Amino acid sequence: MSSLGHLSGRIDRNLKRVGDLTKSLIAIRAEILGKLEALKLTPEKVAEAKKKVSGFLDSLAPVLEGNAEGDPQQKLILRRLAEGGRQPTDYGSDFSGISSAIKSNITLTPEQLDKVSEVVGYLQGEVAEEVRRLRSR
Amino acid sequence: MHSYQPLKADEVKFVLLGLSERLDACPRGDREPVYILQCLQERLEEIAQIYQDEEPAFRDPAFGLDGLNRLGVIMSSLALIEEEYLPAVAHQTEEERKLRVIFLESAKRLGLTWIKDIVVHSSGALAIFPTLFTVLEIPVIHVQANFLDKCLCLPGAFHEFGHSLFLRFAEFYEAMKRELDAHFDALRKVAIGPVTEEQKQRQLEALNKAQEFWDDSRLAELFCDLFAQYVAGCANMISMIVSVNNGAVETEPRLTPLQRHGCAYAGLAGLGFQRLGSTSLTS
Repeated sequence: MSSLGHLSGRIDRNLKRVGDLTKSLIAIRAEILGKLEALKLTPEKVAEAKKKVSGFLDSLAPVLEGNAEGDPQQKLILRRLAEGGRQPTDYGSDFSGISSAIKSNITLTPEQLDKVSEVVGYLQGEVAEEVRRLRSR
Repeated sequence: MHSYQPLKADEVKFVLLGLSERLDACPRGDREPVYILQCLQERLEEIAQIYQDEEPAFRDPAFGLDGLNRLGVIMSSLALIEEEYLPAVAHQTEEERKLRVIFLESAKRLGLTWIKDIVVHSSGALAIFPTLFTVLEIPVIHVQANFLDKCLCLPGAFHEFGHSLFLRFAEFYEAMKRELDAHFDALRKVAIGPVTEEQKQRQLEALNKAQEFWDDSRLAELFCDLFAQYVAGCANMISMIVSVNNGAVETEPRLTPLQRHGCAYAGLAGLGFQRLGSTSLTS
């Protein structure tokens, strides 16, 4: 009868997913910047982070390229890119390339990682918005 | 942005400290939700540890948006503790304590063994906050003030327990989704007769729209209604009518006032009464 039961479950799922992704991006960025030690990150943790991010990009790229329907979070990224006047298909092909580079253990450029951080930022913003919605319920 | 990030990090640090102090100040008597307080304290310590480990990234402008995104996630986690749990556990009324015992006993009898403790919060409409950081052990149940005086609304709590069950077992959602997809696939095959291409497209569009209506939130609500009906039978129907009429529950927010007036709950209840032979009550 109340929307709270479902909303809280969704927030919880999304928060976990975005939490994992943001943590992984910090690890990959730390490797690019040569700051693994400052953050007490091991090569194993970085490898795990890369696997998470490439999995995220592999499922997102076909959605941005218009070849798959996507889940609500992927649709949100698609919508936000379009609203911001970006070309989702460009992002899709970039993400395919970034994922391939990660899998081939090629070091990413900061600019490549910035693109991933940008779309993860959309998801983070959405979770924050859902928490605010909970507050104003 | 370079000066904003360390300020945001300071804010998170400040909130962490403030929450810890407020949790420490919560009463821990025999009739208080002590287990929940311990869980919240542990979770807060975990978040503080994460913050401490990652603080160099938050203070380093080279991490840019990654640091800000991470801080945003931590703030959202803290907001859930601060806004959903703290107001409920900081001060428990006598009625909330009594309801906690009733709800805990109900959860036990229903076999919801994963629920270890419950906190009741008289904050408004009947609702549940079933999960915190993927843990279903310590739900918050929201009720109207003086809820014990509204005994006809009490069975509504079974609907709220349904949310915990629905999240605990993904199989329910998957089965409902399969049933839904099969239903609309079958409709697409049989419902469209010998019509023009334009009419066919219109009908297909209408069917797609109808299928999309049943998103995961609506399937969750349907499951919880069925669960409450399964558990409480006729009492659930009465509870639904009374609760909707006196505003104890939120109704479907996407319905127009007119649709809400003749809502499905009342229809379902009426049907139930007719089957029970109590037709006079439905009028």
